[in-house]
Amino acid sequence: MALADDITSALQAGAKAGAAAASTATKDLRQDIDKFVVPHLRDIAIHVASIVEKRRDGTYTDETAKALMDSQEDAIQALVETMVALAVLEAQTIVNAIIDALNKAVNTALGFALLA
Amino acid sequence: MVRKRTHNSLCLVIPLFLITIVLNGCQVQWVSPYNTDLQKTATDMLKDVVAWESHMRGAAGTAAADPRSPDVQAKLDAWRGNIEAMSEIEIGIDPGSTVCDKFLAAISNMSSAVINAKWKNIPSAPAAASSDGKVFRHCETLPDIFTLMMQQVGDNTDSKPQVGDGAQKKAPESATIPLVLNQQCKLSWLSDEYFASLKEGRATAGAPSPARPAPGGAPPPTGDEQEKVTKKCRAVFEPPAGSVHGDLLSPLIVMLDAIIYREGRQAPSASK
Repeated sequence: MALADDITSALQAGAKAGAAAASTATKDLRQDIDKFVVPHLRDIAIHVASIVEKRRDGTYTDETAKALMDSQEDAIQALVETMVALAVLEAQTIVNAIIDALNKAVNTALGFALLA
Repeated sequence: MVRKRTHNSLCLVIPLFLITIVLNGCQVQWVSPYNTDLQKTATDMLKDVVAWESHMRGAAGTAAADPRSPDVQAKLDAWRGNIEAMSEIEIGIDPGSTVCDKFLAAISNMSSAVINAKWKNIPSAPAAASSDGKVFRHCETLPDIFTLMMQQVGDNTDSKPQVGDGAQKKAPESATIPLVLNQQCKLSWLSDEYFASLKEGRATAGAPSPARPAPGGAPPPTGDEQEKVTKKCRAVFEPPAGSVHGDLLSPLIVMLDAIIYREGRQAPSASK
């Protein structure tokens, strides 16, 4: 019975740690979107408009306009990929917080450091 | 039917994913850890790109902005070197194939299955149903960003502007910066030989030669022509209203910013 209680406590500790990390992760990711993604997307929109305008007035050739548009698409891809990496990083932080809490609770229950 | 199968697959994948992690009992590493050198190289390169953009605004319409100029070629070579160096650093710290990648692949396959099933009756949608699209297969996305950056500056084989062998050499196709410089900043009245001799002269004397039409080259430009060419070249470096960078280098700057931002988030001093 004591073991079952210990395991329950360990799981609760893990869940609490996970929830706390998830809450921070949500804040961090929202901040990433506000501080990093949105300003860059706004800037990309300005450049797309500029490329179209300069193609229309003959400043840019077709090839130039096409290459520059492709580059702006690549910039969007880089932003999305960065957000994916940041989201994975947050997921990693949450999982590690849970593992840490579980390890600590299990080690405490056992009385020795089984899990590092 | 499809929805039910997808739901069942998800029920299997998510617990397996969690069980694998917990059974391992140690910390997970799905993305490359923070690296000081990577952050420094990206920051230094960003400074260099911004400085070069400013320099090119002034140099537009002169031989110094022509893609055949030794300075321009040296700058692009230096950036290729920077990207390769960052890529090498990343290879050294990449966590490799992880359970996160397997999870991502499983999710991607399921998404493809759903998309295929959903769109198979629509004849005009093969591209949407294709699994060859840009689907993330690796939780660590830095290598993809380096590939995108290399597409900007070109690798060492496809993007050297032609010097000396003119039309015989294949024109740069995929690299944006050399291609756009060729389109917007190439001075028709200066021959390839002029730039070749400039390069040779620099190699021997180390002193810049004044821009002058080479014998046998096109006639020198009139004032109007010169102004037109200057405007055409400067347009790619001048920031449009509301932005701080020109159309040509802004994507490369976004990519460098992405690396710096991401490393900054992971830096030990980053506030959480």
